[in-house]
Amino acid sequence: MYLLRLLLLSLWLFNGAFAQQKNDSGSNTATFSATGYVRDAKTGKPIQGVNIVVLNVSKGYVTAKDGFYTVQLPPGNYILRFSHVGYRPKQDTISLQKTLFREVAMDDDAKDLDEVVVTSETPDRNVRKVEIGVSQLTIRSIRRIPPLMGEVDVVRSLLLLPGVTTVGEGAPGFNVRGGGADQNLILFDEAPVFNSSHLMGFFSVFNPDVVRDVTLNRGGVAAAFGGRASSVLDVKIKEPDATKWGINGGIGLISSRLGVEGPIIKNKLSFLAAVRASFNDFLFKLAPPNLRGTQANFYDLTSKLKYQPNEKNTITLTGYVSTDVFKLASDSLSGQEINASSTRFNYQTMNAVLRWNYFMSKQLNLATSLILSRYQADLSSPDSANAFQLKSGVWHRQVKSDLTFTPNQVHQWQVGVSAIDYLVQPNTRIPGPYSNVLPVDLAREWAYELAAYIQDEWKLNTNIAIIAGLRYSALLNRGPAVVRTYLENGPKEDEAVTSTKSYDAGNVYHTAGGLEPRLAIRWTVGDGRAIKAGYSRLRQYIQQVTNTTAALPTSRWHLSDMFTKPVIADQWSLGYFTNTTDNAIEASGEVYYKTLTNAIDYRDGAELQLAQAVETQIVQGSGQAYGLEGLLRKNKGRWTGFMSYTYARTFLTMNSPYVSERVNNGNPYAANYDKPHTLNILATHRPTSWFSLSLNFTYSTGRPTTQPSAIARVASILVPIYLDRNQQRVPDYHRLDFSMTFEQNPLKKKKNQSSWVFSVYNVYARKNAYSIFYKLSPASATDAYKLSIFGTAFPSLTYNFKF
Amino acid sequence: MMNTEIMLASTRILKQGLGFLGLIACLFSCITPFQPDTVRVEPMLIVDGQITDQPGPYTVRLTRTSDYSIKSVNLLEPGATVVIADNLGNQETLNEQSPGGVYQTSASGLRGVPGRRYTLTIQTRAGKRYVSESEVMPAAPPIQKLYYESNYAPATGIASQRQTWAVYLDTKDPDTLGNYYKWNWTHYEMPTACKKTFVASGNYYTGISCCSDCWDITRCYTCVNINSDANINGKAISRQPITDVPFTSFSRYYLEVEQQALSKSAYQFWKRVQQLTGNTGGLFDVAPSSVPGNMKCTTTPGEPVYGYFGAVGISVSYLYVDRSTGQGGPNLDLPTVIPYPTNPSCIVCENSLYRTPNKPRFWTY
Repeated sequence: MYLLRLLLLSLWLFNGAFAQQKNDSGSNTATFSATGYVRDAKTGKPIQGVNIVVLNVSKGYVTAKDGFYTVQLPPGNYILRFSHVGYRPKQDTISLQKTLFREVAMDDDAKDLDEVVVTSETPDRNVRKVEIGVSQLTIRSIRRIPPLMGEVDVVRSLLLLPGVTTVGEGAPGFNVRGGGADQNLILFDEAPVFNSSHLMGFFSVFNPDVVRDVTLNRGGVAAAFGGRASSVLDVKIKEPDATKWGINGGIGLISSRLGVEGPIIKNKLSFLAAVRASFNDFLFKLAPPNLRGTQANFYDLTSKLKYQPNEKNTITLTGYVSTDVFKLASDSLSGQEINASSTRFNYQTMNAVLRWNYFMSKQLNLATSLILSRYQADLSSPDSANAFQLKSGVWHRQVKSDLTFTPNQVHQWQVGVSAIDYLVQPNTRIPGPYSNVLPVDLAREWAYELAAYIQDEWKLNTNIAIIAGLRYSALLNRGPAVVRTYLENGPKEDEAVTSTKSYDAGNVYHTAGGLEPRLAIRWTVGDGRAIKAGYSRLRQYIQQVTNTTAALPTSRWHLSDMFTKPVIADQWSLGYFTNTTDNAIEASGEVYYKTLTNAIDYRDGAELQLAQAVETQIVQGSGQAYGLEGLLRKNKGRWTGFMSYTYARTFLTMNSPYVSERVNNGNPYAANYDKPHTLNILATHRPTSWFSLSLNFTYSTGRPTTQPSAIARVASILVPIYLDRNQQRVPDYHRLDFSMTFEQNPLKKKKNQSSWVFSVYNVYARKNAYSIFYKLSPASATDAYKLSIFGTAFPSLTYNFKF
Repeated sequence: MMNTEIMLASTRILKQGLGFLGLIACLFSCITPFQPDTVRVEPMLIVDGQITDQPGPYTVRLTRTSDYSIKSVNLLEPGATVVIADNLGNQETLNEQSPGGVYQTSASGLRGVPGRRYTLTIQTRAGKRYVSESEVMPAAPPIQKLYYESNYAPATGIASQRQTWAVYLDTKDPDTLGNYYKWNWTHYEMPTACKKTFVASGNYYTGISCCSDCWDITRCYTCVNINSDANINGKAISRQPITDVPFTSFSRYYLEVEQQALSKSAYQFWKRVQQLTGNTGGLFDVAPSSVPGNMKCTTTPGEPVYGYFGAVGISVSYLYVDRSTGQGGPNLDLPTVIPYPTNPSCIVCENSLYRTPNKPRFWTY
């Protein structure tokens, strides 16, 4: 190891000397290099993306994937400032008279008073980085947010970010800048996650003990990403500890966790495994009788193996399994017209990623991944005469490769290719052994999604930088398939099929594709002030089709084809970013305008679960979203926190020559998740190093709902008459949460450490409306009801200790 | 070397958390009444009527919608000409009943026959003409079996005990695909008195007896109980839930169950109604949408008209539920005291939606 370092050192020294010679001969502005690795002081792990600012000349650099940096400067004395989210910033004074090699170790900022609570990366990253609309949260900052039922939750924490909304508390998924919940590409160490929720939506599937950080890209999505129309949520698993073994865990009322990590071969082969499981059936035993038969359990297992034979090669293997079992005492949710005494939902995600990172040279890095992702859902009923099982699933197999080429400080090129092989099993119904239920087997959907991209990050001068990217993606639908032809002048209905054509396995029968340009520009207008603009186009070829308020875990996925056109989102954004008082105060404002082409909604009374052809149940039209996002943040001092305000609108228009393919008669209407005003405030007070207090307030306009326009009585039953969708709103939502953390004084170095976390969710017990619904009954004095999911203050207490 | 490290690590458990939770009240489905805004709409015609293969008379009710609110009452549509016709050219013009808006065939008039197609035509006083789609009347298979099972849930800390009897139905579906069913139940019970007045001071009722035999009628006005053979074609429909019989007395519970055979479009109409009325505001409710019926305005095409004119085949069966073995005590109503003499001495049992002097079809004393 020592020898290798020495070798590398000599190599860099040689390089530097060579560069110096070249520069000497080229001009009179001779430069020298200061190079080295930036590592975590405790674990020795290289840190990527560390910002290095040369303070006296205001030049900036960033460390590469392996933590390596190079700073080129004319001879002289400089102060280098190293900063990265989650680490204490470090300053280093150098005297650059020759090529320097300097190892930098950075300390964890866990104990710092001026901790950044919800942060977008390093203190001044929001001004310096080129991308617009990107937020990063470290797991440490997520832990600071007052939790619900003591469960630290990645997806719930995203709801504090501007531009992120949900259709309701406890609903699965989230909506970003006017996109549907299925329009977010959720990556867990590169593997897509098709269902990000445990317990039908209450908690997310990511074990907080293994998450390193979370990046939400809602604006200028880099060309390396594609396949979903709204956003990219990149959840990264931490690297296994390569130096020593450790066990960690926790016991909670909702879930309990246990994890182990450590080196199998020190600094070469390390391993991490963490399991999280829930055993909370007893909660339902206390519930009202109609919920007493409910069972809800989940577990997830995350594992990561990292092999680093040398400095140039890193191979990681990530495995992830998540299973949920949810049993309801009635068939209220099954959507199947079969009599059942209980319904059991069972859904499972299985992901595997093999990644090889080859750091060829200082200029070239090649990352290649093999990705498998499988999502399976099944719905079953046990009653013998009516027993059935309804199975559906998505198989995603992908190979991708990305090459990064950094020829100099001005350009960073990135090219890549990706190929996905999709198999979608819509729904297969299997009767039980003595069952009267008929079997159904819907045709599977097969397709390849191919993509290639090129991108350049170009620093034109010290003030202007751009990232320009171009991606081409295409979907190739292949057999076996039976393709329908519909009557030309009429709506697509089962009755309007004129002929069908069969295609054999592997025959490509339809292709759709196109270019996806991406552009981001940053213009530094002064010290700590920048204007940024971005444009992106995203294409989405796989959708989750559902006509319920929130998607059920068993809602089917559907690939685009000749009838269901890919969803295309075009987004323009513009923002102003400023930092003052040494990055302690940060303010930003962004505006965006987005159009959706081929946005999907559902026909009145659509039946999607067992539809042979999805196109007979859905409609496609256009969408329009625009908004303003403002953020004010205080990063330092005893009081830290942020305030964000979002004004956002989303409208859909579903028009067609045929009445059955129109929604609201072809007029624009607010989407389910259109919430114009959202205000989030998070404040943390830390008077001493052993006590902190967090307050979180959130307010948003109520989501649209549909109210009956009149009542009809037919065969003695009162039938509500609904005219247009989403014309009314549920009452506004607001909530205050609070948490207190008592830790031990870090100055008293004790072997055993413990901490208490006490939190209250919904402090003033507001009965926020999840929905308004109507029960028309001649016997009842009222017919409109408000449903609240968390209608009371919800305290939880957690005790943690280390020894 | 490695083993000792693991041993060390396992003794040095890094973090262990214990979580406690507060009271879980109102966590799941906390439902409170809500006052929505009034929505203004143009009045629309609502048609409610059906012809069956049982003896008439058959009734068609015409109303106009008013602005939506719980207190709103739809107005009757009087003065219309209402005609039911079949595909063989038989037809009958319905007579308007006072005070208007309700139209009936004569008792000796038209009688539905399975297999024929029926059409409803309406000409309003304002001169607008509405026509239904032509509805075929399917024949209903007989009810094979009507039975019940006792359900008892013991009391827990939060909820009191609960004794009910679940009533199920079995029937054999014909081999042809495309059979659609709807079930209605009616409960008849002889009241202790025909007029009851609550005496708050004594916490009891004082009553006046009926002049004749009399039955109170209980139906479900919110239940849409339908099924189709799409999933079970040609096999038995088994364990179709009909209703839950409440434990209000130890006496037997008389239940009449009607099995209706529907046309496909009538089934689709009721399916949509079921989705709308079955919504509980939960996470996975189907988004509400308009339910078009089978009526059309021919004089102003595109004018919305709601409701359904159905042609249904019917088979009927009955069941007595023995409640004498119920666990725990019944939820009895407050006692009724009938003083002597009363003024008047008795109350006439009026025939209405909620009460009848006519002995139910299968009633045994």
